[in-house]
Amino acid sequence: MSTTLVEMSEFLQKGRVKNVKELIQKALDEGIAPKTILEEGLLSGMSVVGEKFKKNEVFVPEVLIAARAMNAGTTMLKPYLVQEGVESKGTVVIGTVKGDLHDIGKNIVKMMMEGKGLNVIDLGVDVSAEQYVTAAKENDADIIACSTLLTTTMGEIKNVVDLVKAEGIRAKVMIGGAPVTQDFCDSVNADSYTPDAATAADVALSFCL
Amino acid sequence: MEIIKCKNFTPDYRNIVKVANNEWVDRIPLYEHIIGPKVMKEITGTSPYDLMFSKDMAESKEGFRQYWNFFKQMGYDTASLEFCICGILINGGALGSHKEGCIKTREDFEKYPFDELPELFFKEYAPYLKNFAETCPAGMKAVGGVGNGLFETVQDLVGYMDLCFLKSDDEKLYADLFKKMGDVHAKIWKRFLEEYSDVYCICRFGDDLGFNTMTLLSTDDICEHILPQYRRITDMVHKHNKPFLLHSCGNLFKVFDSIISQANINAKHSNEDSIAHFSVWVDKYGDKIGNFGGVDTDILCRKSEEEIREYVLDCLNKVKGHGGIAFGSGNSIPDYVPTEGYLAMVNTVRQWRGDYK
Ligand code: B12
Repeated sequence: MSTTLVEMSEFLQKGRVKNVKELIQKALDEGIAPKTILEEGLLSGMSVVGEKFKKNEVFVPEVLIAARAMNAGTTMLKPYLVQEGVESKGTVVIGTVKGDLHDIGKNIVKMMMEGKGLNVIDLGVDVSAEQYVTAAKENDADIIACSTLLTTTMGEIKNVVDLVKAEGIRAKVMIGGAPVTQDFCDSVNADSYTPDAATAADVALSFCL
Repeated sequence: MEIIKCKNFTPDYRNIVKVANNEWVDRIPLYEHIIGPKVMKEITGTSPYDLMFSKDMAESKEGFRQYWNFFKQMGYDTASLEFCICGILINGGALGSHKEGCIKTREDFEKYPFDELPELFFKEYAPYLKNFAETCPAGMKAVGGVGNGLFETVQDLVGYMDLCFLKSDDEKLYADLFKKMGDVHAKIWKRFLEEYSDVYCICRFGDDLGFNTMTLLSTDDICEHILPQYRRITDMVHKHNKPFLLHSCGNLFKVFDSIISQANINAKHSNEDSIAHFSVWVDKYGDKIGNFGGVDTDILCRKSEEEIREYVLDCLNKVKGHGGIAFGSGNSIPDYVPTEGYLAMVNTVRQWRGDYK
């Protein structure tokens, strides 16, 4: 692999926005294809951070700064990717469910999914089943991702699953957050539960392939 | 729903002080961090929160009276109450209200009126601190004091994510924020202890440092920027001959020995089963500090009264005798906890400790 891309991936893991941008320019000048820059420079760096986070080897702030560098990089690359006809790998509608205001976990899941090249639409907090489904329809989303941190708001997830089924939309429902378990996921017939954001991003990608 | 009235209960706050100093007490004290208005209303028919902070002082006192009475009626030796710094922060709201953080740059930091905060705190809360103290029933005292720990107040001005970014963009500003806010906390606590702390037998603040799998900041940053500031407060609290209880949620195991030694806390509250059962905290730290907590809030919401009863008895039998234990929920009793679940827990503890004999 090009040393520019290796360096880019390393700077991304350290969250160094300026260096990442400089190296993207350098890679473009060297004639490396934007898609290769995205996959081997940016997404590869984010995967390393995701794997470390899964194993509790890095703290949340390190994940966040890496994700920010990743986002700065993809924003810079976007016009080149569009020119080349590279499309996003899928669309996710994400939010924290109705009645719940916790959003740190949801934001990390969002950034990790973006780090896999997915287009993520963030509905914020206190999101009703209707809002998820409307946004999923409008954006022809592949995935609806629901975060919840309170036992009481877990019930809202069932409403989302039921409405998705009732409306017959194709989006898979992914769920997560501190009190959610695989048993709960099975009991409400959601499509996937993962305990952490990095695995959530892997699963989301697999749903879009 | 069954509320067992107990005529013979006489509160004695000295029990829970012993617990905070890590001594086992046979009449194990009940303890809650927060009890929401719905449960109080359903049990006693009163709504103290509607009155406590009224501008009408007679009404305010009536509210505090109702508040104390709730705890007394339920068999507590103390009532828990914090007067929260986040409640008076100028342009705060980034922690709990999803507002944009108001400090992003050195310039924002220099302009922020940190020095006005202590005055503002007492202007806002002094009358209510007095009312709270004046309505305290015989035999009871309070647990709490100046609410919100340093991490929470810094987040309320900056926002969690922006704080993480600041760490990488301007490490000096990141460090200065904790120092400056630490000074504000120390000033407020100093005056609080000198003028308003008689009614408090245990001092406490809540500062959630962790989540399910780890701490929200790196353990190094917690040790460098947060614990030394906690220590300034615990030193003052100890000089007033009171123990200090830390309420902090999350998986803190990697940093907890440092919290005990660096911050010099006497006791700790908050536990969740998805991180570790209460008895694990007691096994690990019961030789060093008092442990407050017990039933995961999730259990109180989802399990039947009989299941809660079994859970409580199992938990009590596991932790019995291992240092100071005060028992209640692992977090709090927000309004979504069914009153039946809360009562099942309280009644089981009271039966176990012999209130109904
Ligand atoms: C910080 C915090 C707060 C902050 C929230 C700030 C914010 N902007 O988000 C504040 C102080 C405002 C708060 C308020 C309350 N909180 Co709170 N809070 C927490 C705490 C300590 C950490 C949550 C957090 O930020 N975690 C960090 C992130 C990174 O972790 P995470 O959210 O779990 O996300 C990870 C995974 O779960 C997963 N994930 C998350 N979402 C999704 C979604 C999908 C689709 C997937 C696949 C994966 C996934 O990926 C993430 C990264 O790996 C937790 C304790 C805990 N164990 O989580 C309590 C906790 C969630 N809170 C609790 C409570 C009770 C409350 C209050 C009711 C308190 C009160 N008495 O008033 C209020 C409720 C407010 C409301 N209506 O929502 C309880 C809930 C108990 C329960 N079972 O119901 C907890 C568990 C604490 C405890 N000890 O019991 N809280």
